[in-house]
Amino acid sequence: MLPRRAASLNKRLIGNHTYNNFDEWVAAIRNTGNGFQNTLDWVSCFALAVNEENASFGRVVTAPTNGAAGVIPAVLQYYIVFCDGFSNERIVQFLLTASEIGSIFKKGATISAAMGGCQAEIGVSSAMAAAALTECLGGTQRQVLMAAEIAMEHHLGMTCDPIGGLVQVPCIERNTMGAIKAITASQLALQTNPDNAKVSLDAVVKTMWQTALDMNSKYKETSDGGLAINIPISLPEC
Amino acid sequence: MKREQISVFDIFKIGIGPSSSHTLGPWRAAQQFVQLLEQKDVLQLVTGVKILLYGSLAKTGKGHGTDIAILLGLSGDDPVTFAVNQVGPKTDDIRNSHKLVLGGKKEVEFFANDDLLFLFNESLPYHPNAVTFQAFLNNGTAVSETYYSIGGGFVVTEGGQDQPKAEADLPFPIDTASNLLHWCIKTGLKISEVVMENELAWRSEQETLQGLSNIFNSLKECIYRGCHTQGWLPGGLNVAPPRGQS
Repeated sequence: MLPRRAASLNKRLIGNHTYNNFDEWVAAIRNTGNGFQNTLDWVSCFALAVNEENASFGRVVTAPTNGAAGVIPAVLQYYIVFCDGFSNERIVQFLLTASEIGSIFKKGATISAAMGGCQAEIGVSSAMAAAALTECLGGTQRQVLMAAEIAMEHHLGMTCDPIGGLVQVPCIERNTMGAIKAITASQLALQTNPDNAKVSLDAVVKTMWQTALDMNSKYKETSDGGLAINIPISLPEC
Repeated sequence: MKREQISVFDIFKIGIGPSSSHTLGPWRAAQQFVQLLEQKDVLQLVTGVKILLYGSLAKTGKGHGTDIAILLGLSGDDPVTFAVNQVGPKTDDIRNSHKLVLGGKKEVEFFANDDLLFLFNESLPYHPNAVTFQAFLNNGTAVSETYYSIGGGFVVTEGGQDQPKAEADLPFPIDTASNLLHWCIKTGLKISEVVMENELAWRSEQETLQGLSNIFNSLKECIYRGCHTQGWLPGGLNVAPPRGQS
């Protein structure tokens, strides 16, 4: 059995800052500073929180799936807390941009790990979050698409091999990775002239789909390969 | 080929974990099957049901709560509103009492070991996440339907048809990133503004903003709850841990 980690991480990171609700919590997190390690810890904390809820049969929002449900809220929460993004208009902008990128992947490839491995879940959610963050940070439309492309490009080939058939290992931590890659992809896109991009978003959608078709079924949410067969479930891992 | 139309509310859907394809999708499929029985006006004739899980749904379904989702879906519970702290108690009760109340209206005998089968070595060609529901009627006939949970909670029936959704006349049809960029260049709108224009083909701006506000509230409640709930994750050694949350 795995312990939940987000709550104790939150407690450590928040220190002596007090709060009684979500809005006060946002302010309290801001008061913990914006150093790189602190920010990184918070992003992980947000993503772990959502996917621990998910693993516990909690109420979650598909984004675009449940297994990858932590990436978009973690990046949105990062934007709210650390990029001064706590406004209704910005949150609407974020969700709308993210959803269109998810739709493009669903239409041109898949958002099912049983069809395409983890690249289709964490990869897609990371691309969605990267695009949404880029638009909210003032990127051009082409930089937004570029951010989505970069995020997916670095998830290509990622397998789905959940231990014990549970949406826990590697799924929960992987949401932290999807979130941080989304932020990095967004920053890269914002610092890059899209005229120089070699790979278009459509090209990476097509590549993800071809990779999905080529992937051995052992790595498509069957628990017949990968970590699922190398980690005995009875051992208290982590 | 007919254009697939996807709204922001198809991508962001409130539900229950841990898997959109293995929990939410099968839950929706079970609800659709009960609706089918009602449409055919045979719900009251049902004497028993059998559920067959194929492919990935069979292989990882137990860990992903597929069985739980199906029992609740057949019972007529909805993943958006069902109290998450009742997931365990209600499904335990169904298993222990051997009684399943279809759609909350028609009680049938139910023995999970015989009636909910994980076909580990069988797979259907259309998609690895397949589930077949069979209902046996008191007139000796049966109703059967197969659903595919194709990811993100989307469910289609044999032949790949989505449940009919109102076809909208979208101002900016988008299948690819280049379509999207084309509309942005043509109009000068941001991506989120293009998407909003399309959303308004389905419903008013007020309804759309309200829906997005509901989604954000669910996201923030989830993240806040997760950051304040200690304990253990279920599964693993198959020992039910204390959750200490509602």
